[in-house]
Amino acid sequence: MNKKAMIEMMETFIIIFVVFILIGFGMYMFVKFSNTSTISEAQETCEMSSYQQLLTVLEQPGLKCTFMGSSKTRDCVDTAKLRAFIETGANEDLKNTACPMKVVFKQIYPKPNSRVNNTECTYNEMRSPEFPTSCGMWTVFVPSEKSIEGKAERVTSTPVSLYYPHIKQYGVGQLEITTYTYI
Amino acid sequence: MEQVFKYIFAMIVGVMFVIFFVGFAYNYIGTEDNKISLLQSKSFDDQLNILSIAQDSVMNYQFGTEAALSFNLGAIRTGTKNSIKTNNIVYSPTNLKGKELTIWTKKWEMPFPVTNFFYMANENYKYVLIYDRTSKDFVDVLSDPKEEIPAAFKVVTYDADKLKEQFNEIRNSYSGFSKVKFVYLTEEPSNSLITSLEKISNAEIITIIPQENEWQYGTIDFGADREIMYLGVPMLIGAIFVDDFANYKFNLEKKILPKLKQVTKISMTKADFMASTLQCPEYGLIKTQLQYLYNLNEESEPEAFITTAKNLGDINKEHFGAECPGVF
Repeated sequence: MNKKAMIEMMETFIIIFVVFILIGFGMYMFVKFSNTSTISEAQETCEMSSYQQLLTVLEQPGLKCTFMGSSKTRDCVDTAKLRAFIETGANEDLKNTACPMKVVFKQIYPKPNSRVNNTECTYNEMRSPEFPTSCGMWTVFVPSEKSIEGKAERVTSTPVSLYYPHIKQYGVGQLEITTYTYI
Repeated sequence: MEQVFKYIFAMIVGVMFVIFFVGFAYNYIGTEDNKISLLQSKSFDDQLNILSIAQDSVMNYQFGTEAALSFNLGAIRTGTKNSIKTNNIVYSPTNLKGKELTIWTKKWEMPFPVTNFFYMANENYKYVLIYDRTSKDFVDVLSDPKEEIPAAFKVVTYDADKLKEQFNEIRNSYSGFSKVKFVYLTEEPSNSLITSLEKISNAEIITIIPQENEWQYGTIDFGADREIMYLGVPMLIGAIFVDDFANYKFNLEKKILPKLKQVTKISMTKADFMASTLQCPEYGLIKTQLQYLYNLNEESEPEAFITTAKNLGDINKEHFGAECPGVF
């Protein structure tokens, strides 16, 4: 092979190499853009899912107040059932969501003592003579630390009526759903 | 010679480019299809979740374009790609193709609300209820849109005695459907007629065998020695809309009974808590019945479920009041 042919060959290789680099860069940008759009869609699905969860959690047959076994349920959350819902593992059904979510019922009125705001309302706390001011929340579901690492939090909440059947009283609470998203 | 070498080289590089781009495009389309399919399935499942708030509600779901949905053994799939698992209990044909879909939901109680059932079909499916003098009143209620099955499902009813005369007419008028389901709600289904109906290529026949006059519980005969229990009218309606025995059995054994156990366990735990805070012996009484219901399973007699549910309902209504609030 003569020198001229070798130079031409080198030129061709360089051109192909540059073209490959350009194509590679283009594809990198395309995949990056595509990923951003997928994440944005995942984010939308996630948010929609949290609104849907907000609606359906309150309608869980195991949580809603019922009256004399009637299908015509009352619009409130029975806290004795809520505790049972958590303790019997029925809350595991809430795992099936588009993204990690934390679901908590918070006591608003009667206002819990400030030092027990973050105290879980276990059956023991609920038996206390100070109840409902002796504890501040019922944690229905918390995702694992690993699944929420580095993710942003979005909090959606709605007021709910709470029923304490063992003391035959009603209170006001708040259902708070924290969604962990990518952006 | 050099020129020829250049052309060969250019061709090899060109082919490599084409293979690379086609491969990339093919993979990208596949990934996008998967993504869209999963998003559609998830969005549909969310719709069902929202609809489950209702006690009894019917919805016309428009896809906007020709779509294929599949419901099989607890999984929802749109198109031909990946499926997602759903917690919802769906009674429908396994594959539904079309631009729209009718969804009806109904709450199932035992005696407390347990879950919602979803019934789905479109205009390609026909449901025929066959009655005799013993079942006429029940079939009238079942097919009355104001009482039970919504008008959108276009359920038709036939008198078993007259069905023989109308057989040819039925066969011709229903030949265009993907499936025609004949549901026998008669005391003694005519074997010769069943054999004739079975010969229709798109027909499927099931027989409801109630164990009491109110049709509240009994057995569904899917043919070929495949019999399975039903508990309550909502489950009987499920047998009408479900595609096959496998899906009915899956819903009953893998979804409904575990859900019943779960909700019963919640009531039992609540009864324990109430008994520990209030001096009411009634909680012990109801706990015994709840425990009995909890222990029942797919091997148990349907009568045991219904009787226990009735006892529970009675105890909850009669033994509890202002001093001792009911468990459910």
